[in-house]
Amino acid sequence: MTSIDPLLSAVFRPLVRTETGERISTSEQGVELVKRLRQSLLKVIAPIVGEAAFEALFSRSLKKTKVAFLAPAKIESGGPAASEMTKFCESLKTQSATQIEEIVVSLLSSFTGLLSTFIGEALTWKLMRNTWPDVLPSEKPVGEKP
Amino acid sequence: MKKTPVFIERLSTGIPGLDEVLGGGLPEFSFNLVAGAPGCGKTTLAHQIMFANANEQRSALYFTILGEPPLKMLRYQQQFDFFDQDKIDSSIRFIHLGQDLIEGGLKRVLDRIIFEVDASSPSLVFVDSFRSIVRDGHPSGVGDLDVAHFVQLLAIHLTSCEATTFLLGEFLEQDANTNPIFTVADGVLWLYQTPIRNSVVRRLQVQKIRGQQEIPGFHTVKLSKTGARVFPRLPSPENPPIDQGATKLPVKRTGIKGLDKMLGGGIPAGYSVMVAGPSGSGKTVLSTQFIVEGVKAGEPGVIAIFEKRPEEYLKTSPQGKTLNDLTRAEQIKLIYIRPLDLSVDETLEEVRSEVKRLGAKRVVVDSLSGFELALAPAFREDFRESLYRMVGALTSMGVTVMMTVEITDTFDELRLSPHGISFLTDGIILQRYTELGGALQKVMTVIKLRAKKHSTKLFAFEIGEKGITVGKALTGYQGILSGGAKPSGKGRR
Repeated sequence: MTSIDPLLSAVFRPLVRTETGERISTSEQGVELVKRLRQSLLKVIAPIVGEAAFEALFSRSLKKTKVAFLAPAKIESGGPAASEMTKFCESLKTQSATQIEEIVVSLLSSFTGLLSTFIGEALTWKLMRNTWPDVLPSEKPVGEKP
Repeated sequence: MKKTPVFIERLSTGIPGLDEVLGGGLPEFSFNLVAGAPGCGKTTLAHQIMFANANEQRSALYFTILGEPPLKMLRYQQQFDFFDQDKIDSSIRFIHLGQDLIEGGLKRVLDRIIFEVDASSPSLVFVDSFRSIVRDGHPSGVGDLDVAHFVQLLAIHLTSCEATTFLLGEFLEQDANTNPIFTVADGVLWLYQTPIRNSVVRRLQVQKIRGQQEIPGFHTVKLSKTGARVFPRLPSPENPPIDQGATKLPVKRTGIKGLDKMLGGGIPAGYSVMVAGPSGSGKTVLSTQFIVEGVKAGEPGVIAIFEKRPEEYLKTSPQGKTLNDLTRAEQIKLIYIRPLDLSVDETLEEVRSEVKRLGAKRVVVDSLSGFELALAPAFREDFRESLYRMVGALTSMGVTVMMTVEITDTFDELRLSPHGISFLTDGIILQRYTELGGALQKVMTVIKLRAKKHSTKLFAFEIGEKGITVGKALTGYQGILSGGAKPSGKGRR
């Protein structure tokens, strides 16, 4: 199971709540949120790393999050032909509102970690912050992991 | 009324040596082509120029198309010291056009570039890589522009936008004669990467640069963590060349009394002198005495060594302790260069920078044989020409150069150097062994010293703890250079 960086969770949780207006109350709301977050990231990050690279990294993050949070039977619910995004959203619909928030936070953490692997933490955080300048802190949080 | 030509501002490239090769930097608003095969350093060169020049007042747009994926490019370019992530998405913006090309062909790519350039009015525009557009111009059959038209429109638009533009392209040398891009471009920079035997040599050539005089030819390029560095083939002279015919030049004493006498007082300042002799004859001893004597006269010196490591060199030299002390006191700089893929230009640059730093007036190259061996095979081929350039560059700085060269004592011919380079130097001091009275005797003579009277006699010499001591002239002997000296005339008993 993929471990989530608690420091990233601490900054992405308020972001998720800001984006949804406090709490996620329905799974449809969660699906809409994931689509919206993806669009925001696409707008800022794709011009720099390329659209294909963005899609590849985001898809990989969706997969990793699914493996971490969703049961294998549910993973295939979208069928093999469906895109990773469609499959992810289908799976998300079966989750409770509380779980969805956790999954979305994990998705953002996973994407941040993956992008950092390629272009380094500093530049990744700069781009994440450019995406949500009013919500994310200027520096990536650092500290002892519990 | 005298007409004043338009003033062209020149941008510094931020790449050491490149401004000099370009004849003073890049003309502002010029349309430049950076051409070369994959992996020769085009992207690194472009990034280095961009990071050096982009700032709040002068923004840059970097378009990537179908070449290196931007994700990989950002990953690897970050490894260079010049990469400044604070500039990303502020003064530097990356825009990937792969999707535009696939969906709309060249027309869409052109429209997008024009749109983005109009929207942000950048001062610097990079399109990486251009060959990929040319080759894959219409991958989906979409688009309505041919390549020549596309390039022309792009060039015209970017020039009118007051932007200095760089198109990076994987071209072949034959493209230079047929491809319209080469005609349109104001500047064409070629990068080459050639593997020769066990070495890889990177070179740069400025094929053209409108409005200024570039240094012609191929210049060595080195890529390291700090980025690219260009070693100009012909560095600008620091001082006017010395008139070789002048007889009133100050002389540099060698520190060997007898030798100075043979030289008519010493070596004229700014001369290059070769010390040739067989193994163990005392070439290094002579050259170190020359350097130490310089320090005594208030002239710091530089010694470039290629065979022994500095510690070994200091340990085995009769002047080792003195050299060591003077090195520590920053009066002498010992440069040790031994990689086997060196270019003469790199060596020259290193020596030149130390000469400038120390204010050195004397340089020793010990030895030319080791120097040649340290060069990449590609550079050994034109060793003579390279040496000529190096000697010229150093003496034009007012430095007196002494080079040692090992020759094989064959006793049946008088060889002054194995490289046929003796004509390049202003002076030659020859050391030989000869048999005299049943013992091996070292002898020395001055073969030439341009425009200066000097002794032509052969002198016996010894090497002791304090260095070389020149003995008497062997005037009563003949056949010394053939290895077996016999008394002749007055010397015959």
